[in-house]
Amino acid sequence: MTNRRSVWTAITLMITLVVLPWTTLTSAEVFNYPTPQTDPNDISFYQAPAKMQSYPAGAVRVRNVILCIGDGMGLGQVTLARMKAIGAEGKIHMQRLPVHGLISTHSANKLVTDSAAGGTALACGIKTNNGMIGMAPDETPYYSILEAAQAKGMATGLVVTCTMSHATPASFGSHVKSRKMEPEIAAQLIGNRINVLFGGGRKYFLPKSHSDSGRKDDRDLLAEAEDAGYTVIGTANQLRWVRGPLVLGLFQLDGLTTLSPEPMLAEMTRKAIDILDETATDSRKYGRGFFLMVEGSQIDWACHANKAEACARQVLLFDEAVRAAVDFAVADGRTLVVVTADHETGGLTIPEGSLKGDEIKAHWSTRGHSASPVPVYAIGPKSERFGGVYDNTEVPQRIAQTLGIKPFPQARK
Amino acid sequence: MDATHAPAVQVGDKVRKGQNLCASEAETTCICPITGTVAEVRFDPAQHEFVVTIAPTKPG
Repeated sequence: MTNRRSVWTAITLMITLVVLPWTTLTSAEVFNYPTPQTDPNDISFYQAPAKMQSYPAGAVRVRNVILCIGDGMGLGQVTLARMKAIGAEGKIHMQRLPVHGLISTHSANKLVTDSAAGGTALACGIKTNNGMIGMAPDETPYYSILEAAQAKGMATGLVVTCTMSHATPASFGSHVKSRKMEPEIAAQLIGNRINVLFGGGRKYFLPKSHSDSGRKDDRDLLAEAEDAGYTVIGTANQLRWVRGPLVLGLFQLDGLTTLSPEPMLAEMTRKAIDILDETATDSRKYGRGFFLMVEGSQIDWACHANKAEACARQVLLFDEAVRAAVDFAVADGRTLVVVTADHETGGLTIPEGSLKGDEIKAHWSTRGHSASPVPVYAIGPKSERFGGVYDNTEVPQRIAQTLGIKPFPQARK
Repeated sequence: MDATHAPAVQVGDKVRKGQNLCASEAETTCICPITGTVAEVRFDPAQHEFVVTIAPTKPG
């Protein structure tokens, strides 16, 4: 009898251990978000490149595209992170990519863009007014490069550390007059059936009846997502186990903390690539490759606060995600990786410091955004098209060319 | 106020009721509701806004 009870206990335990990670969360469940456990300025996670030389340039045909966007990441931010992590003689991963360029970032109505107009330029290939998402100043919506890739038969994904409905990811999967319309943006993201959505902002997916909701209506987008075939997850452990083709991972009510035990941006990026590559390989519907946008969302936030340590950490977290993308691209041989930014934040310069990088002085000229051009780094087939000095609207236009998507930009009928 | 542009004021500045606290190049104006001293300028990442706290000037 005792033996039988022990067996049943063991079986129950095994079921619990195996099944729980697969269990999806519903809005009715109470979700206890983890308390941050690590130093917010710690950069010990960062693994500097072992080699100084550049990654090899790619060849032939583009099957997959990974667009990495550092929100607010200008050359000053990249330099600061490099100095903090390696020193003056080193390069962080994005700097090792073989093709370098610079892009201008002005919006349709302002010299200094915001992330809505900047994101729309990088997503749709058009200029719009600050605050507008995925549409021209006259409110004509335009297809994003993600939507165009999806229409071509590619799997698609968005990975961010802000809310899923924040300006940059919103620009790739929604069309609204104002970036403030996050509840509507969240609904459009689900409605667009983007394969992988990883980030924060669960509150915009909960109905107003839920105490944590950020919505003013009764729509339960988590339930709607599940009905549409999404697997909905909320923890790093669930992220490890989940499979495609449709996954909604919301790891905080608001933006991510970017601290343990949340999944790090690089971890989410690797998983998104796994899911999208598998989906594109196994599915006839998505058999034409994948498009993934990865955003280091909180570089901007650190720079608005004029905090150099936090800025360096956020750039390095983003750079780890870039490394994950590049590692896949180098092994795959058919993946184009483009790294850039929507604008610069803080007017950051480094007027003095030591060569080792341990006494860096950061100088901020503003707490807002600036009109400084931002870098582009690229690797993979046709990456040579991303060198030079050009406009941010040309980034998705050049991606469209490499994928054979035309016309682009294109208004939605 | 939207954080694309830095506020026109900083901590310690004296402000008057009706004064525009936003930068001149900003999309909108932000009218100061009271007379006082700027006690805090905080960035709110969720809204991508600066939140300006003003300590009112005591009458008399």
